Amino acid sequence: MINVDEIKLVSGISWRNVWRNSRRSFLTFLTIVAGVTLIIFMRSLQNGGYSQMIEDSIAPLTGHIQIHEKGFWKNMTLEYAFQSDYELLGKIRGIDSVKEVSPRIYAGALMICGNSSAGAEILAIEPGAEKRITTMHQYILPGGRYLEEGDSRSVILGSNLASNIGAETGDTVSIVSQGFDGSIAAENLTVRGIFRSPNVSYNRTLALIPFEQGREIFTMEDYVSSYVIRTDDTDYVPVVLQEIKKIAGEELEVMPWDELMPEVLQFIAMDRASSHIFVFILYMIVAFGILNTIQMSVFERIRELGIMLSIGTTPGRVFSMVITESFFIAVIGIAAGLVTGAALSYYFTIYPIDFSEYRAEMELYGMSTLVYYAKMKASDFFITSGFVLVLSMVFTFFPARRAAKLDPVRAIRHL
Amino acid sequence: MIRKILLTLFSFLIFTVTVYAENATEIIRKSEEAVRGNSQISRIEIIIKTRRWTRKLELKSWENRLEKKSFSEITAPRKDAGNRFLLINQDMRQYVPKLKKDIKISPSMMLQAWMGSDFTNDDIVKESSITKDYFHSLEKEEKVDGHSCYKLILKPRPDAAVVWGKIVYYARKGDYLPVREEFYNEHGKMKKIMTCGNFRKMHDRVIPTDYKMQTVGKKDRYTRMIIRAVKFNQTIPASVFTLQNLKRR
Repeated sequence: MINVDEIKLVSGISWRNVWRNSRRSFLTFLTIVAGVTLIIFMRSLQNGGYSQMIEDSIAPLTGHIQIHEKGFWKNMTLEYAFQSDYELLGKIRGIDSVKEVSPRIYAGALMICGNSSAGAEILAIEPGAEKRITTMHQYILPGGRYLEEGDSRSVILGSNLASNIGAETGDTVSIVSQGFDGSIAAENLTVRGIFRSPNVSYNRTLALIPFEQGREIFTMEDYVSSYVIRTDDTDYVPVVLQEIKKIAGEELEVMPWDELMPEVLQFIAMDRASSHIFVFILYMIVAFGILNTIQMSVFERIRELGIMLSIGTTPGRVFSMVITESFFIAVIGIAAGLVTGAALSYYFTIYPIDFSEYRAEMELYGMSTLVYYAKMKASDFFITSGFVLVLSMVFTFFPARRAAKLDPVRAIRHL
Repeated sequence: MIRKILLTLFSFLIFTVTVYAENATEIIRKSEEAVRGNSQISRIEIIIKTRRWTRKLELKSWENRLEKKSFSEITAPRKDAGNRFLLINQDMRQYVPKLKKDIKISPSMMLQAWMGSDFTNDDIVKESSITKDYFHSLEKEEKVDGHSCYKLILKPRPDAAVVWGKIVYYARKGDYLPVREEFYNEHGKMKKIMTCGNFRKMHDRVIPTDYKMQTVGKKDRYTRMIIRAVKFNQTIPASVFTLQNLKRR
């Protein structure tokens, strides 16, 4: 049975106790506010950084979801292709929050310019649709341009590939490979532009050609290597993925970005693990801050508590009183901490931390993400407040028990 | 005293190994000589089966083994006809009629699949030599496909630019013709098997005329090379192995 009067009494006394030594309460309160603020802010920065990292690594080329014939991703050869299906394309376009879907042809080839040659990955794309899926067109170096609808015999080269074979915008390069039917595939192409993307491996090997040109060179008939899909937001990917899996045939593999680029998630997992350690330290600072101040408040009031006990207050009531005091402070502190944490995070959502000035240095370390903004997540707020509340209760338990177990006779004489 | 005995034993051991090695090298040399002659002019059919398609190519080929020169031209199907390959020593070039120019196949590409087949460029033009680039040792005799064969182990010489870590070569006793070759990578894992069959008399000698190359672990694909006609030890005019011949329209 819950005794309402008892609760009223204890909470009333505790509430007054909180304010009786307001400076002490304020210290505890500050510890909690600072801890919660920092944790919320750090989590928000992490969320933002991770989504930006994901976005930056999948945006240039990968898209959100790709569909291939089963085995393509493992083998990455032209041999794995499927018959383009306009009905399926239409159905995918019809799914909510699918922004764009576009076919591609992928093949390895030898690229020749003058007397030099190098291995290259040829990707045949539809320039118009691709602009809505990927950001590669933003990385074209001055002097050149991206592929356009109606381009024929055109190619866009990665910057390192271009310099390896000594090709410049306007030059003619040749590609030699094998067609889908096994015949020799070869064509002379004019370099329309050169791109330098944040992903160095694309710059080293990738060459983009118009989709129709690719179909012709590799004798694809109506076969394609992949469909690439972009949704309105990375968060919609799991839902859209399930929808597509329902309508795609058995012989197709439907892969989300996190399967296409597992290294991004691996990096994030590693980074998250190290951040857990940091957050743990923050939690501990909060916990010991609470332990310290509550302990002090109990010490300070030994005489008072002794009198309470000797005039008949039960040890249980003293125990609840101390716990409730701490509870009040914690709840107010957490609430204030959430507000300041949200405010701080919001500032960095609008004004992200920008490392663009250090682009060259960052790229040297393989970091392509230059802008870090904060992104708040409701779950962080719940988890953080829950954790801090539980911690403050657990760490108040010891001083509260100490207060309850005081020997009244000795406590009264305590100075 | 013990040292002396050991030394004697050791020298015996070395002696036996050398004797064996010489025999093995001799077998390989004879095998190569029997199959390829000093030079050959041939018409070859290549059947490539992959997971998706089977296609047949026809080639004409000229080879001067002693001078390490070879020239070949695809004659069918129409789509690929006119593609020519020229190898002089280490230098391989391909003429692609569609590009109207010849391209150099760099040494790093010698080990890539030739036209999507299970053969590498190197297999086709035989740039590396199983006689010169490998140490040979005779293992034992074994029966393969009904032929009693010498089993030879080929290990690459340290300075040889070859891809295989080991080749097991089965040569028929009597005429030393190859029956089967197994190719292992540097970790000792078998990667490819070539079986030689349809032993027939071509021109002046009996040779295997049907070579089937299979990649281990890829059951749905193989490449067969069938020798349709061949003439050995003919004088091939030097003009065959020239860039002019490669690029002629």
